[in-house]
Amino acid sequence: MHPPIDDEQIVVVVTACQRGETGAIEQLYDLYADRLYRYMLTRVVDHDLAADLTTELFVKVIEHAGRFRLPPSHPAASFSAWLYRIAANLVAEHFRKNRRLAWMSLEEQDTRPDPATEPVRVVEGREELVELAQAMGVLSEDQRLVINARYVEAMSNAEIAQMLGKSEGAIKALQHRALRSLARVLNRQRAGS
Amino acid sequence: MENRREASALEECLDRVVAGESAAECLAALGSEAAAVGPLVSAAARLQHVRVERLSDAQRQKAHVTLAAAMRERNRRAAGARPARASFSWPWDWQPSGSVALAAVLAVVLVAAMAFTAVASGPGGVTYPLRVAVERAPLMFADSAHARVTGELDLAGRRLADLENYLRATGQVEPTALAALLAAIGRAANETDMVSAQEQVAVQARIIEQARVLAALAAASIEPQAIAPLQEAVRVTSQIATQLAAGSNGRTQQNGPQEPAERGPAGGPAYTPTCPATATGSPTPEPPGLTVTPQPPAGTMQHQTVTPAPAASREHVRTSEPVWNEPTRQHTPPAQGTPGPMGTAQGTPARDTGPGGTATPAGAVLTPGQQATADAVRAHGTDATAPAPGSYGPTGEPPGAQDPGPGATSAPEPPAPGDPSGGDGGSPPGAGTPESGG
Repeated sequence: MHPPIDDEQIVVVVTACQRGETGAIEQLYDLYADRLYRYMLTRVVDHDLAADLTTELFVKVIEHAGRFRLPPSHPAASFSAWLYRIAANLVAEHFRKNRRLAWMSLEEQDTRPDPATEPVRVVEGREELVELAQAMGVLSEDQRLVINARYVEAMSNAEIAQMLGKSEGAIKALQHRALRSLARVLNRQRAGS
Repeated sequence: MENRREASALEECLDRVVAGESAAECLAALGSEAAAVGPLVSAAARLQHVRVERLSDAQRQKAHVTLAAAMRERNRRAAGARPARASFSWPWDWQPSGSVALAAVLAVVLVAAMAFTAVASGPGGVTYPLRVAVERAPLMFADSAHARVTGELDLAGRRLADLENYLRATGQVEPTALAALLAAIGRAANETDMVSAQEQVAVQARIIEQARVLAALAAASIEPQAIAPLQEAVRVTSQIATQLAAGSNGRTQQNGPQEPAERGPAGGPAYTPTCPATATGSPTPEPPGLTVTPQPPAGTMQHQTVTPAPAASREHVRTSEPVWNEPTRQHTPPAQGTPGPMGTAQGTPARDTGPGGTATPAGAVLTPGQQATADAVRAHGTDATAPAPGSYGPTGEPPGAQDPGPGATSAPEPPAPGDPSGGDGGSPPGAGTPESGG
């Protein structure tokens, strides 16, 4: 988990990125890559694929940074929302291209990790990640973003509301509905296994 | 949530999970609400496992390299694009946007493609009317009456060529070509008031020539659907030529009698270039513009070479080549002081000789004998149904839609043997001696 990103900092870095400074895109990557990587991971399960998609996401940021207009209020939250929208589109595009289910079976997974690129894995087993990704797959995009922001990134409801442009009440309602759906799918998985 | 207490308990428990507590610890602290909120808290707690996932250093390093290359590529493209834009500047202050420029280029390409398609189309084609319009477009920018008249007559020549080609191929009249031909002749005639007297003579000669070609086509046609509109076209063109002759003669004679437009022979005028090519280039006391003569005496009709085929030979042609009787065409050398072959379709409109050719040359001067002939024409050469001078002929309606009227100048029926004139009103202008084979 990272500390919240400062608005002033994000204005400076994004502006530099729009000017084409290589250091700025690397700075943005360092600020956001882990969050986006975790979001990707809960969708595609595969660590390497999630890392590649995260890199691809920042390549798109380079290509389209000129189109992003930093709002005067809450620029960091707006930029975060923009990044998550790109992430959601990339995952959807990935699924369209590969015709793969988000919850690939364990047998189909490549279980031989590459030592050079092996991420720090604290999740006890890949099975847990697959089940979570499968459960996340049944949520709407807004629900996924809220659940991810609240329980993976530990953002406050106020921050999430700012990022998504909704009220805190709406965020709470989204959370509860999403948790109910998650619990239902997870219980079903547990009962099935 | 079922009630407020459960909702409150869930919120509190979720906050504690986010803060790092386990689901079991949170639920243990709850009372009766634990059962209701338990599954939700457990689901939230399971998500906490993902929180610790992060990219490895190797993945970060790899991503940095990729992003640096992507940023360089983006900067290179941007640097390459800017000079390209700067190198081109419009010669005026207003700078169109890229989309406007693209739209303009597309429009030009589209128009060019349409024009090319139209120009490449032949008579009877779908785009032939477009071709007719495209070919006339330059005339809209002509700044002198001379250019307009000449251009219109050139266009009339092209349409006549189209008409003839189509007639040869199908035996039918191409209505667009015929309408455009008559319209061009009418426009040229309407403009003649603004050109010199010599040019008027030339215009008149070219119109006569075209009338003669039309008459030859009518005579050579077999299909009744083709003959009628061609005859009507001959009649209209003849009227125009007659009125031109009357108008130019009246103007050049100054004090001479003006020819009433209502007068005309029942059979319509026959048009023969009667003036020798003695263009003087200067006004003469003689009426220079008069070139329309009545039917020559029977003895002179031996010069006429385009005639309907005799019934027998026509029948023969109908069986062998059903759509077209090839008219005999004789090219007459430029006038050498004697009239050329009369009634001959001397060349297709593409070979329209124009002023100074085999038709009456510009500035031709009439001899006293020819003047007498011209007077006879003025006495009989105007159809009773002719429009008033200055409003020459139809300008767009195919003549086939019109009643030929009493001024029809040719008929499909061949003349009786020994009657080279083809009968009263039955001979196309210039038609005379029958020729075998048609």
